[in-house]
Amino acid sequence: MRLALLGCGLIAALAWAGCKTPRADFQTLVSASDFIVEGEVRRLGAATLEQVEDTSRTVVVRVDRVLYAPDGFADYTGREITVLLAEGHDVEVGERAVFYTRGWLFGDGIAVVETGVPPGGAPEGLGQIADLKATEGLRARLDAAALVAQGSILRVDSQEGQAPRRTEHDPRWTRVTLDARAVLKGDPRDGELVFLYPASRDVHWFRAPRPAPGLEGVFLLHRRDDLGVAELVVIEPEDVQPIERLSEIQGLLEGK
Amino acid sequence: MRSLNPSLLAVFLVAGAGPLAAQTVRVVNMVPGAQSNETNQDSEPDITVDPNDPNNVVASAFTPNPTGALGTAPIYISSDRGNTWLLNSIVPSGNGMTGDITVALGRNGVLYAGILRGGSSLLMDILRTANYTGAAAMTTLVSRNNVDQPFARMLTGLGGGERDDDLVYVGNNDLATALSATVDQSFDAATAPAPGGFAASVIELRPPFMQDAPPIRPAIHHDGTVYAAFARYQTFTATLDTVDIVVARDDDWGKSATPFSDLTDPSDGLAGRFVAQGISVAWLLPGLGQERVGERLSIAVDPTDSQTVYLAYYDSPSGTDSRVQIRRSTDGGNNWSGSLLSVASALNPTVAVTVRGKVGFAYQVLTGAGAAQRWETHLRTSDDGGATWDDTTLATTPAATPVRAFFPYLGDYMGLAAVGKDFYGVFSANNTPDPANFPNGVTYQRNVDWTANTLRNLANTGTVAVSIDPFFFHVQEIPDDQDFYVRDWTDSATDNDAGLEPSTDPIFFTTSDVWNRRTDAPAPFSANDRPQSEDPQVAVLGDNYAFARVHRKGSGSAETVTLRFLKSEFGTGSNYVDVSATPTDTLTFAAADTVQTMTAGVEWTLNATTSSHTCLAVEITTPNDPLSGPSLVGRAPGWPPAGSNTRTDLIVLNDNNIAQRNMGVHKTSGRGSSIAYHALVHNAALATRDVTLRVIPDERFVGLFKQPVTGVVGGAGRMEGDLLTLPGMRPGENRWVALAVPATSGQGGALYSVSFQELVDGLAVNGFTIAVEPTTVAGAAPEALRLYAEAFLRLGALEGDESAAREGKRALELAGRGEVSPKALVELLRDGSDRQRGLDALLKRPGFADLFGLSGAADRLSKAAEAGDPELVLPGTSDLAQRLDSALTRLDKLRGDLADVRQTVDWQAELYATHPRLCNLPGSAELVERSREFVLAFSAGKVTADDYPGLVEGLFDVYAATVGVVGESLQAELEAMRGALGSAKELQGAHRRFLLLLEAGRR
Repeated sequence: MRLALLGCGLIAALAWAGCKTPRADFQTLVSASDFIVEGEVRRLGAATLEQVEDTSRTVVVRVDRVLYAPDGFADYTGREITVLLAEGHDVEVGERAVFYTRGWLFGDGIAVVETGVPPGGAPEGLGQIADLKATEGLRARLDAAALVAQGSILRVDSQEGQAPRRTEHDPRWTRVTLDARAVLKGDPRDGELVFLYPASRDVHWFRAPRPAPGLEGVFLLHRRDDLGVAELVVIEPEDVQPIERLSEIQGLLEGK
Repeated sequence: MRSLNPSLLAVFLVAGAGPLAAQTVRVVNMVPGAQSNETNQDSEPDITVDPNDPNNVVASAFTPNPTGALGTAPIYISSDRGNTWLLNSIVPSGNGMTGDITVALGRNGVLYAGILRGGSSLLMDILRTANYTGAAAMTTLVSRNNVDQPFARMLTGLGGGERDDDLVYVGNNDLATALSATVDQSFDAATAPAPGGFAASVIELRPPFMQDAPPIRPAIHHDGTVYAAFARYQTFTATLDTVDIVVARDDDWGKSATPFSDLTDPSDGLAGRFVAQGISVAWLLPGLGQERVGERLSIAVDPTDSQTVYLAYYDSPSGTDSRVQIRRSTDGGNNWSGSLLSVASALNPTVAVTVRGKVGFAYQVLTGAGAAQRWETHLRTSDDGGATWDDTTLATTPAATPVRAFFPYLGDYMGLAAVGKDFYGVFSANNTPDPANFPNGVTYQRNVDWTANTLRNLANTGTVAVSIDPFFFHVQEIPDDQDFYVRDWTDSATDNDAGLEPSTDPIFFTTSDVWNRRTDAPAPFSANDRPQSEDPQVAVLGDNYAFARVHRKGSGSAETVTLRFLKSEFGTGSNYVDVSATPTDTLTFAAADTVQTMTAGVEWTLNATTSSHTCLAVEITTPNDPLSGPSLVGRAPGWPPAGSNTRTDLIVLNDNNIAQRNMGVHKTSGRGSSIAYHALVHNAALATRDVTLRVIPDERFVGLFKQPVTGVVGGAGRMEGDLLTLPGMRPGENRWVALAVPATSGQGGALYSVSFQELVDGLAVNGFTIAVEPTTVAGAAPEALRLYAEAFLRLGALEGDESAAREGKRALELAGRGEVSPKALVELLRDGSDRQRGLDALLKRPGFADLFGLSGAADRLSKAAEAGDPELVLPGTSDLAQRLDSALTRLDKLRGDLADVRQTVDWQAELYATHPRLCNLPGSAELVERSREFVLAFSAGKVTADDYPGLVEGLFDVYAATVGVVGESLQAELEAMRGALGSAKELQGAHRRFLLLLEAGRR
């Protein structure tokens, strides 16, 4: 209730057209934003960082509430930040608004770039920001995956021989055999599936999941010809999910 | 919150070498305050510094986007010389980080980066942005898969055809082929659409074992010399490589059809010199501490000498150990020293060279054992070519913590740059805020507790775990308040030379802060903050006064600056001499002063036989800010001091303690014939060469006169495009460039100029400017008459001709009346009897050739005077005066030139050291040694031209032996030398003729 009221208040403040913003628009805006705050405009044509030379489109905003922020930046309530306004978005001193932004400069303070203003407003959406951001990474990986399967790891083969190229970034591809019990996306084959993961601890690969025999979960397998491999691969942390998220993943795949 | 370690001064004094002040060291943790919560492994840093403004610094590391966004990764930027830092996420990415990343920034302010794109494997992007503080992502110029370790370096051209162009070189290991060592290069990358002018050049010609190793490192010199170092596999196993270290070189920016092929190896004649062959390099693991190992290379070229190049690399002599070392070549990479310095258990060798030739060698070394192991980061410096080294410990931090998140733990490289006299660098290390870890002090921007030695979170409510952070360091050779400079150029009060080294305008000889006046007052600066220089006057008209304005980069201390003024002939290449026997003065700076202008000049006099067309230079020194090398006395900018292997010597650009003014301004009026303005071109080198001048008219000149009309007097010359070449000039030879400008009237005040740059390897090493100021006949007449008078007075003095002297005095009397009416000018010149008698005597002088067209000029003047038309008389007067002045300079210099004493002795040493028929003569070695000692002593001011006859007299036994070997043709000149021992000037003339015969014999 509180969020809804807040949203309608914002509609008035920003002269939004109403509370009928298409969900996709709002979702796109949230997706493009990684720092979403409610705040009050304190100064126009100003900045909190002296390195911001062009202040023609920047304003200083006092953060009253953080609606979404990455780890490490959640505690910005009460601080002033610099916002580079989106084209066509004009504000006045004293005006309160929700600013959808992405990061720009991080020094003693921070400056952010407004990613846009919801064209139709979305007060009910404000409460969904946290949920949208929480699944954002997973949704992106699901969208990109060539095949999503539920199953358990049968085997992890020892590393293959000499790499064809000598580089400190050699991924050291390692072969994994998955007993696929259900295919949630992609070619609907059950049974054994083979994919690779990079065993390297190099900066390019250290975040990759490292499946072990017996691991049960949901596996997001990708085709990456650009990496020089024909097989399916897992390379990002989101690519191996615990089995407990199965229903959530099924829901995401069904567009719920 | 910015946090200063309270127990240590951030600026810590370290004993410096030589006479300089103690250098200052700053170390700064680069993680911004807003990132106080971060625990990333910010390893493998790189750095670049804006050469136009060293306050602007950009760095990179394996730092993720602070917001977790995946589309971009950040760079570090500073606008206060590294004291504080920002993160700006503008590097395109697929996972919010980058793989390998290096950065390069030039004078145009455009930032380039070579990266492996995050979220990919070996996808190399070459990126560009003209606004690295803005919010827009960098533009991708090149994107290529299967490429490793893009390593970007660049410079912005100073002169020649590359002026202001961004020349960018990205070394990379292109694994698409076995010949994988590659350089992607662009010669004008700042604005062109993708690919930004980039093209890939394979620099490996010998098929290696499968491929080359990852690091390919470029190093660039302003004269167009570009080096690239790489490691070539002979073979490798899973843990051990056998490699050759190879250096390639290109002498023209890499622009030829076969780039990097100018340095070959004698073993096979192929491009790429082997510096080391078959050395062992451990590969990846077990590594050193928590770090992996492998090939690591760094190369840097000396800004003062493109043939001096340093190479540092990693190897594993026993197959498992770790060592870094540095070596040097002083002949363009053909021959290499042994190890100048080697350090065991070390990684990340990185080398850079300052504008004063000081080499910096940074590395990280693992010390101690077990849990007590520490990573120490050192900067070693040497200002004697690596014979001795200073050692600055930048950090000594725990090696066992934090636990590695990924490889590389600290980096496969660290960053080091030299800008001006200073070193700027970046390294990664454990970020525990413990004063004991940073012997030279440190500042943090992120929140810390210095008492508990802990990191604090953003809200300062709890601690944050230790991680790997990037640390910036700046080693400043001379503090700002002691770094004095004379501007090389001024465009306005706000746009001028700020003491950068090298300075940034290749026309560094027309608007500098050294000037001449005919009265002892500096005169006000112009509206655009330039000094108002006057041409020198001959002694009968009065003395001259040399002035300079001196700036310094900061304030805070009272200092006294010594100024020494020098002069040379107007033109290029002429050697400098002191303006007088007492050429020095001092300027006192109070603590708050940043600029001082001399209120009284250094008095100097042009003697009766010397031309008033003169170039002026000043050298300033303090005990803490000496010249970077030998004085200009006895030599010319562009040509190296004795003992140097450099091809070019950018002394005026590279040393902000030196400035020169080489600009002739001539009032003109009337109509009819052109006036020929002359400038002397002297070959200051020790070898015969083609002298090339780039002719640069300003827009105003082109608008009024179209293209400049030039000629060469005293030898051959040819004009092709905008280049005027004087072929085959022998050491010490003089020729004259003539610029013919039609007589033109005007209202005065506007200058129409043509600049001439002396180019060596495409780089402007010296130059001069001729400017005309169209005015009324009455406005131009006094100067024309003065020059006319001076020329005939010179003729009288040089030849003892009374008619010429009378003509000069007659003209001087009229000029001395102040305003010269056109009618009076015509009447004076209508009586041409003394003029003609003086000229006739000169023209009939045995051996005199009328190279400057005196006869024709005199006839034209006589006819104009008879016609009684001032508009014809005035340009005729100027033209004859200019021609006669140059003819007399030539005549005078044929007898000898004290300014060339040092060059002549240096040339003598060169000939006797290298001439196959002379180098083994009895006494030859001693001659070479004594000559070189004399040259060094001359440059140091310990001997003068007065000591020259004594040197020569002591070498006559060797000269006599030379005659015996080379031939009797030398005998006459030898006798001439013997007969000239009473006059250093005439001795120089005879000595040079003797050496010319020797050189001819060699050819």
